[in-house]
Amino acid sequence: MNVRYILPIGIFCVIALISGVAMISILNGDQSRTQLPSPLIGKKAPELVLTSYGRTQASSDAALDFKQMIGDKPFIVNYFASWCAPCQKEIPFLEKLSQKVPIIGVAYKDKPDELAIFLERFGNPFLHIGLDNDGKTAINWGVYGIPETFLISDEGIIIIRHAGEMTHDVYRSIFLPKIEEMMQ
Amino acid sequence: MRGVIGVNKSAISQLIAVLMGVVIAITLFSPLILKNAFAITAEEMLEDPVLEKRARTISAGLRCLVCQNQSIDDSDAELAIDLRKQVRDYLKQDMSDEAIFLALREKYGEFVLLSPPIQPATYLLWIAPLAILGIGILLMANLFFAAKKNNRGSLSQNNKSSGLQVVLPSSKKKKKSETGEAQIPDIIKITFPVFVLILSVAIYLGLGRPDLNDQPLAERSEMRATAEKELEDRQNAALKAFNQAKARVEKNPESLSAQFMLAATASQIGSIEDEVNALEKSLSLSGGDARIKSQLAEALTRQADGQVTKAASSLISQALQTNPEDIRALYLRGLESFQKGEMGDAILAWQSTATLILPDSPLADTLRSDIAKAATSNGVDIPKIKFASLPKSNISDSGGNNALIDVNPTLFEEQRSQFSNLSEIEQAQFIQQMVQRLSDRLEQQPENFYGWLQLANAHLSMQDVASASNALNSAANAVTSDEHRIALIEAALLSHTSLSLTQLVENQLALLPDSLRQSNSIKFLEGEYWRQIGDNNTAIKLWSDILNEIPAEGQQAQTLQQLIAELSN
Repeated sequence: MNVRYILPIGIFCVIALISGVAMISILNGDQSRTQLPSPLIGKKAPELVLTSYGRTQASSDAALDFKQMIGDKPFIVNYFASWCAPCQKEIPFLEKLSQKVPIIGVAYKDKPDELAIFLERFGNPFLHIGLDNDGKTAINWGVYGIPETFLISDEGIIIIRHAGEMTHDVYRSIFLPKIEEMMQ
Repeated sequence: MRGVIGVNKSAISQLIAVLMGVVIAITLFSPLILKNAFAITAEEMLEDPVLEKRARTISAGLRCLVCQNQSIDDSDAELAIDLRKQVRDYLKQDMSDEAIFLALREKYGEFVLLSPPIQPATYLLWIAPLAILGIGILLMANLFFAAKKNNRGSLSQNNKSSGLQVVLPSSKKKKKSETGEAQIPDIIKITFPVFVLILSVAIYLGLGRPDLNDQPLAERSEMRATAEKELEDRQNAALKAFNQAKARVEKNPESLSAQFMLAATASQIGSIEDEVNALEKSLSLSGGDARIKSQLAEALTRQADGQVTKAASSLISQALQTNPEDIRALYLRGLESFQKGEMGDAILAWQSTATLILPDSPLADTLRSDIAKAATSNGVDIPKIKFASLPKSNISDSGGNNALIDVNPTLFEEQRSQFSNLSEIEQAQFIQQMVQRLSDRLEQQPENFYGWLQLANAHLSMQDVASASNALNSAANAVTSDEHRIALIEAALLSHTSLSLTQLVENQLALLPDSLRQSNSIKFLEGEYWRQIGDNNTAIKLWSDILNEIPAEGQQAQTLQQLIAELSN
């Protein structure tokens, strides 16, 4: 074989290799696509100014007082919606988790009717649920898809942001070490 | 034979080059072809064309984090829509482009910026396309020259070893055939690339065009066209009103109402000179009416790009002398002090303005940000602002939450007496404003069920079916009792307009308790629902059920029989 055959074939092989690797990493669910880094980590959690679910009177003007609600310990903020399948799937785990760490739910663009059916059917792990009807609060928190779960320190600092379904594995490998660190 | 193939090859190489050129041209110009394909919908757009243009530019530079390879301007994702709204909100708050990018970057990180910044980590990214383009051009040039050379060589029939042939293996055919190596037939070598090129162009033209019916983009360009047409219609209507007013003034230059109307219409079409002239004439015709003075002061200020001029200042003082509670004059006084750097006075004037307006009026937001600006530049804390509140409604059984949306009867009478003097266009505008105000208030209190129903009715009366349907959907979110549910079902069925509403009716019906669903009135509504979605048999069955239960002679029974008869046909 001549050099002038090897050159184009070589180039072709290199390109094929690169695209192949890219393909495989995408197909294998490369985490970099779903887990975008959040610039809010290490910063104070934005306020939650939301209508509370389950109360007739809108308490829309006041921000949620985390300290008063939870006290001096870390807690979790979970963005969810009744229409989102992974949110349904993660509820059983969140129910277990809520016995250890308090969870505040933010219902993203949800309808009270449907929310009620959802909670009835899958369970309610939330200490409190705020309704983010227009999605503005979610934008403020840098949420780009639900479910998203935030771990907030006792001082109100965002420690972890996890995009996607919350599972026992995720909790054990990502959340638990940080929580233990804070508890010490 | 060789000569013939040589000529063909050259011609085909050139053909390939031309086709490649076509593909490159299509790729380069596709942004122009696609220029109408945006995800943005008409109702998202800002009224102010300058701000809207900025919003579009900013949106085009922000990544939709759901789709990741589209800007939020191009994407239909829910998040993209929200982000576009957010950008427009920021713009309304007078934020600069950089500040908006920065604000979103603080929430979503660098990734939200669509074009990555040029930094060492991204050098390869930026240079690679240029490098590839350069290599491509070199290769093509080589191909071209080799073909030319080969052509010449073939014609002379003896020049076998050309240095340029190195680049193009296929041009070495002669040698290969002589050495007897296995090779692909020429015809495949030539037709395959041509076929690929034609196929890709065909696919692009066949599937990629945004104006085809089955493309999601087709609808969008249509919507944009409608929105643009509406805007144009509105502008034309305003222009027509202006010309009419002008004609009236020419016929009757001493008429105060004609001059005043001219000023109003001039303001609509943005002709500030005409507005100022007409207001000046109105002022002298009215013998120095204080309200016109403050209007003129405002027009003069606008004419001077927001600077309160001396002439405007003296008009403000005169207007305030007659009526110390003239909102426009008070606001302008505040602005004047602000521009002079007297922040304390500015804050005082604006605070008194605030006490005269409702917290949800359009001026309120301006006041809030103005007062905040004045306080900040003076280094003091932002003072608390007290706004006016509406007198408590006299209309009974409206409940605490509904108070805001009911109209104060005396105020209403006053407005109505003014209303009858207005032209048709102005009446339509007036109604539109009322509806706008209602919907603004409902945004603040989305739990107000009957408010949403009222809004839906108002939209329906203006034949704005889409907005009515939106209002009804919001009403669905505010449902707290079965009574609400039934009222909502009725309203949705009455509007019988869209598929999404039948969906809403279906959901609401399903949420009613069984005991209610067995009642005749709900059965009747359900029958109507089935009729609307085209299932006449179920409708007839339900209505016949009712017929069996009610006295056959009553008026209801007759109506029902009539309805059933109509359906049976």
